[in-house]
Amino acid sequence: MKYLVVNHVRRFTKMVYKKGEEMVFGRSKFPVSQRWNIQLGAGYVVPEVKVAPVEGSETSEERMIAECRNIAQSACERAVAIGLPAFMLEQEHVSQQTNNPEWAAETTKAQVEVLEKYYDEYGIRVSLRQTPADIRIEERGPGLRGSDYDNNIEETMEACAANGASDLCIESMGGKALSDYGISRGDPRAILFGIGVLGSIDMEYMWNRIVNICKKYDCRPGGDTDCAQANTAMFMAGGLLDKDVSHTMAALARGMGAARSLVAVECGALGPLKDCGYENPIIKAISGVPIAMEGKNAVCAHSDLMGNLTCAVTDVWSNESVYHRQEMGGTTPEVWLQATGFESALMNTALQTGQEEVLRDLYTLTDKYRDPQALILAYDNAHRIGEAIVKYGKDPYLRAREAALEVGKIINEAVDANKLYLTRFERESLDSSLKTIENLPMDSDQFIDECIRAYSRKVPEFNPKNYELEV
Amino acid sequence: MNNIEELESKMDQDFVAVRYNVELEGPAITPEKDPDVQAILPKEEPYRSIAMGVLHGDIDEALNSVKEGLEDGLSPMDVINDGLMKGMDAVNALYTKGFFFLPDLMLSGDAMMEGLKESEKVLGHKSETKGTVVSFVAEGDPHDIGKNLVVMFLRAGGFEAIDLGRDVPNEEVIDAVKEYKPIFMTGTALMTTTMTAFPKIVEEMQENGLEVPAIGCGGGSVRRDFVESFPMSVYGVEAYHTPKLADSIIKDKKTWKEIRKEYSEIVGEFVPEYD
Amino acid sequence: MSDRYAIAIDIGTSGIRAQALDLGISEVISTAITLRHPLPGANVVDHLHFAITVGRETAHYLLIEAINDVIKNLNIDLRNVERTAVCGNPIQISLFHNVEIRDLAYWGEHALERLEITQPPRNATVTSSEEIGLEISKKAEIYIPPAIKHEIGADALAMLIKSGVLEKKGIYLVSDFGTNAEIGLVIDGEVYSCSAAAGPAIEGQMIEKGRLASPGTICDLELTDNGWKIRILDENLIARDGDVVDPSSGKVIQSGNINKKAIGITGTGVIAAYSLGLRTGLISLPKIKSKDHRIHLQEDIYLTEEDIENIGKALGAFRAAHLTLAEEADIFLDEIDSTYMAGASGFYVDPNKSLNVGQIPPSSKEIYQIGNTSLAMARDIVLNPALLDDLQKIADEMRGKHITLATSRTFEKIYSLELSVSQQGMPFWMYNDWLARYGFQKIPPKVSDPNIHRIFEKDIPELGKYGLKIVEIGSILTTGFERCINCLKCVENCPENALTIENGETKVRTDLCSGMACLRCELSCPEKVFKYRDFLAKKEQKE
Repeated sequence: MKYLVVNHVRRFTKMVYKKGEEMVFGRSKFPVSQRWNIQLGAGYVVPEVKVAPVEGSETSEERMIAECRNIAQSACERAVAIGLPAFMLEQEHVSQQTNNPEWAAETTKAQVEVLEKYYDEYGIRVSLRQTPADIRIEERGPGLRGSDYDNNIEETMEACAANGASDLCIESMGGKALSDYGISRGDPRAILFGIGVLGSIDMEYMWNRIVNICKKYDCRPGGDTDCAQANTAMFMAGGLLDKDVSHTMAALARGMGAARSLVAVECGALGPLKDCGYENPIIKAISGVPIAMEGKNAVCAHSDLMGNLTCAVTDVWSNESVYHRQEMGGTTPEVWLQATGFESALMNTALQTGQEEVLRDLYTLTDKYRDPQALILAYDNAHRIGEAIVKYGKDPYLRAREAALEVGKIINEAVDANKLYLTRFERESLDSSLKTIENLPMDSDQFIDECIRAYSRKVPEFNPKNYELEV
Repeated sequence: MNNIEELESKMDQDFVAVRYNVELEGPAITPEKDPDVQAILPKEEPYRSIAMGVLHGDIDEALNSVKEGLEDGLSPMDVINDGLMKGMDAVNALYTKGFFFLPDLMLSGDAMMEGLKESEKVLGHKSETKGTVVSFVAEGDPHDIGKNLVVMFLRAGGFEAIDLGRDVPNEEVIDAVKEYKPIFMTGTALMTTTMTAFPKIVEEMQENGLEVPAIGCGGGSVRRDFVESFPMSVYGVEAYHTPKLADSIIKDKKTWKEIRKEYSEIVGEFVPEYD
Repeated sequence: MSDRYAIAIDIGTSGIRAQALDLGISEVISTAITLRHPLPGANVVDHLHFAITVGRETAHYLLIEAINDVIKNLNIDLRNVERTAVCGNPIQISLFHNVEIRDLAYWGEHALERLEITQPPRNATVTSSEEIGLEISKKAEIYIPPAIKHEIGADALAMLIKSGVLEKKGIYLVSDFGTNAEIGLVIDGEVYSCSAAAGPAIEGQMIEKGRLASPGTICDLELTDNGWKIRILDENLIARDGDVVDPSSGKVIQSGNINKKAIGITGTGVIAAYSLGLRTGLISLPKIKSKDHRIHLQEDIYLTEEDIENIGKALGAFRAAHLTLAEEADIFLDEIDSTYMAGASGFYVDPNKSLNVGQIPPSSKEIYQIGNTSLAMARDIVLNPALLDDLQKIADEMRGKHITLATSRTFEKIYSLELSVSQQGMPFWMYNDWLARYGFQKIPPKVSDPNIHRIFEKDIPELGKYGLKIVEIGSILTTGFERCINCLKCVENCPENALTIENGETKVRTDLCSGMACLRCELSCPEKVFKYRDFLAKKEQKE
């Protein structure tokens, strides 16, 4: 292959889970152990809370440190107050944090201090996830690779790892210019190029570095998410009555997103994969790593059409994000940790009493036919998409293409079985997209050549050099 | 049956989640699954395939099925009436329901016409229609979108529409009246400068002792009071009204005077211009 | 101040605009305009139709008489006018010049052949005031700029030149909105042009409560938290805040500065209502979702579903024209670097709303409102008469292609989609689907925050030290009809109150009269003795 070099990573060509129904929440094939005696995917579900620093705190380093410390303190207090055996705190960076590695070092240190104190005092199992922001700007020279922004991300990653973070994540945005273009224009080829090819290439670049940093410290490489692309499609698709982007198109983007986000694991990420990666069940089915998910307890951050279904096979249950502020029931770190904490308690009770498969199925059935986007993430279907991906596992383009085609097949089967009904908009969008995708070449070099030619002019932000695709 | 399937079989989906988008708009079904269309479409082959070709607006599909049918010795009239026309009836039903739009109609009309021509080749002459209508755009006027729609609706309605084209000199219109003896005629104009052709044509027809039951005039800046200022004419409001007006002439022997009075009833809807 | 003057004149469909310039200091010193055209009718085809019916001479006479009235209000000694330049579309310019117009009235060879019409060259011309009949210095030279081709007049040339896009690399869209919109797509200096017959709805006509822009008309609407705020033109044609109303019932929610009754709604007002209606869901094509299926703006000012369909069809002509041009020129609409809106309508309409309703492509990132470019070019010519030769050269050398939309199959296909939208409510995703099925590009997504460049405050940027004078035309034709029974049906039926009958004399105010597109007077005459064309045979006189 001319473009997609495969030397650096081992690709998945086989499924770790042989059947979809082997998957259940709280258990993964390859649990992860972290400091502070916590295990993820090892037989219990861990609640997660994530809170965005209040506006204004980014104006100085001192304020940011105090803000992060307060968030950790509130979460710990409530965790102990309501008796949570374990929890994860995630700090998603604002751009100032990532842009100033020394801030990141200090904020991490402050949160570590708080968590460690509670671990020491109460024996509560804790995890501190640090997620630096992907502050790179594609169209600004020198682009995605080697810019000051890019270097700052790397330094910040190291600062977090060195100062006691349990694991590192990122929401990388490679390919976003293309997928945005494709999503807003209903061009499935551009979406496939953006997510399947460019996203995968950029992730490899990003994750080889993160994994190398983690190796130096007691810190795990966590995971990525296709937030920048497949979630954009999901958000633009919106509710049932919205018509900007069809829900079937968003489902196709999700399938492609799974083929892309898998690259983190192939580069050495151990999980739990990042919470807003709705494609995570597919990756769990392929790779066996634990995952974090969000749904009904992330309504503070956004709306989705699968609030329960996403619980079905998760290992960490998250609230996604909320502003740091006061609610009637306490501060947001307290309130939302309590929400995810009690949901996790239900799942853990099911695990203890042997009812986990029943609960998993109930979660799944509440949403499975609510929307095509939910349908394809039901664990049985997620597993099918996983199989499609590993069938072409060595080729990031072909496997994303195959994932999309399998998504189409799953939706069409449900429609034919009269289990799911589509509107004409959804129907015609799916039909025309599948037709386009089916007609795309089976050779990735040819596909990439075509796309470089077609989109270099149309999408001015896109520069093949950012992906080492020299023309 | 595994557990989830068993659970699933017990539940009523709408009890848990309602797809309001589907409730609101109806599920996407292929045109042939629409109950009204099912009632219209012929059951036996190859009529069904011919009608489906027209329904899908697919010239190749329609034409191939027509050719196969004719090669198998079917009568061209049966191909037309039990195949092509049934397809067009189905298209009209979906158009009336708001499920099909103008471009669907245009494509289906093209497919039907191709099939018709093929059948008429075997037939050796023009097939019998409800009647002949002559359509033209006034001299000096290039705007023929409206006329093309009129022709399409007429053909879809089972009439033979003689399309004289755009920028048609008055003499040509008169000649066409002599040649085809139409039961109805349509004239369209977008420009006020060209619509003056209509009264002149009527005048010349009268001088030549010619008459048609009615001349539908319409388009762009043409107004009812202008049209009704000269005889033999009827102001046509929408292109899709044309076959209904023609029907009223054929079936109920309506004259231009009666159509002017009963326009809304004839086209079966409230027409503000005739209020 | 010297005593050498020049006059620049723009003859538009909705009126005459003239400016006096001091040649000593090369500055505008005064401006005079009319709010109507002296020839009967609401659009240029009506003017043409009138001129053909009554004869070129009469039409020329009426036009020149009105221009003489206008320039008398310029506050200068007309004997000292040395130069005058005129600009406008080919029909207006030909009426001014008193040359053949019938070739502009018909398309195709049949009518031209039968009537033995030969097309005049319409090149750049220098003529004299005597020739034209202007009451200025006899020695004054009159400059008439060239038309590029039969279809692209001096007004389109002005818009292309004044926007500066002919010399630039890049892709630009320039349009002058009106009943007949001139649209130019310029790609690295190569011009693809078309003329979109949007229809009079775009100027507020063929709309039940529609009016040309004039004092007391609703010209814009603004969405507020509790309703729609109406904007009304005051005596100086400046938009002022009116009441905030609930558009589904007409209930006044909050009184505004101007709360006197509006007399009608302008084209820009209709576009605003259409845009807000679609945005708020009050319009769900082809229906208005209020109890009585009307949008209420004031007690007696409303829009009906028929109005909505008419404006929808008119705007559809723009969108279909843009797509057709882009397909012909083989570019994507979102590759257009800048969009220029010329003319008064293009100046006073809110570009965000134009973007919303398809009057300009939704992907327009950079929007320039450049005002009245015809008048600007006439000014340039009188200040530098040598420019006329340059213009002829540009016209001769212009590369490009004119697309006649009426005969374009691409346009026909796309316009059938527009009809589906405005008459049947075809959703836009389906519209795009059809475009794809036809092998055409899709409508690009809407930019959220276009940069709007409005260089001047008014469409005519500099009025001069004597300011603006609005001139009432009041040209009258008189006749008498034999066997008239004086029933006054014609007077009652005149929608513009342009007709009077006194002592057996029938008088028509030509500037108010809607002309050949109306003829309600003649059509309503129970005795069939009213003959509109009789006005022409009689001598013209002035009140």
